[in-house]
Amino acid sequence: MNYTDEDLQKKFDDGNFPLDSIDAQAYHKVFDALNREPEYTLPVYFADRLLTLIESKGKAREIPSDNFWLGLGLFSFIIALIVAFILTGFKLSVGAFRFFAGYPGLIIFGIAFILVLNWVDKKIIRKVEAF
Amino acid sequence: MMDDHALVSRIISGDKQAFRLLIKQHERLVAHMVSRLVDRNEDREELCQDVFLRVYEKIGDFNFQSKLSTWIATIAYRMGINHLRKKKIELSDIPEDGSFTAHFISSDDAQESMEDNEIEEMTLKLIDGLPTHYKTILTLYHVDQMNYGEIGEVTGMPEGTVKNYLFRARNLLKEKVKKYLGKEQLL
Repeated sequence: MNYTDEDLQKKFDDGNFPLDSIDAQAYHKVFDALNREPEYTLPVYFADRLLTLIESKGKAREIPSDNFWLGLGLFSFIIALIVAFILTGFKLSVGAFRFFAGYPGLIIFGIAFILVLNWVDKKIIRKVEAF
Repeated sequence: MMDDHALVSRIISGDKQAFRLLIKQHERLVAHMVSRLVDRNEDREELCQDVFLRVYEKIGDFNFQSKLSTWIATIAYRMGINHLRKKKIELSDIPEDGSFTAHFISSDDAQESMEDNEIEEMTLKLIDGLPTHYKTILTLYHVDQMNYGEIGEVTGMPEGTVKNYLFRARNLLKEKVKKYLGKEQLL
């Protein structure tokens, strides 16, 4: 009996295997191969390794919260210092501070320079070394 | 076996062993999909790992509108396609003009005769040579026993397209195998 390709594919999908034509025999081979599982399997330790990775990522996420508290502490300290300076009328009049008091631009430049230097080191120099 | 609702609830509440169970239940599905999309074993394992990490991150968003396996397969498919795009691997289709079909089923390299197991091996290689979407649909349908609707959900294709791709891919493979069977029967 002559079946169309649609009929043959439907018959094979339904579990009937007519082998009375070369098309049917070819489909038989194709369906056999298609129903075979791909050879690739994940290693037996895959799940364990993944769980270890998830746990280490969880720990890494806790570090930013430590950084947050450190930042908050430093910020509070600076605010407290400023408030103390204002309330006590403290002036930079000791040793080197007396010199710097006349050059506020130099202090700002110094701080900005150190910050930029740190940024360049972190973002560019260390990244290049990693490669 | 734990049902999807219970499993997901336990994972959300931080039960790592429940997530281990999810991996064990779905690692074959993810490995099948990834192995059809990616050639190198190292890349395959890394991609499978990324898929399950994404599942872990997004499990709270799973709304039970589909089966858990379909949702995981969707993530695996999307990440697999993104991986191919990053590697600039073309996601070709079978053109309607018949050029691919003609090239695919040409029997220039056909040997004089082939044993049954050789034909099966050759057919597996032919499956690997099909365009990405066709390979994926064939695997989901034949190996993972998904229906047209589920495959449509995973691949984002309408059911009609899934049926059409499945038919065309199997027809193409049949035509190629027929060439070898024809030679076998002539001998």
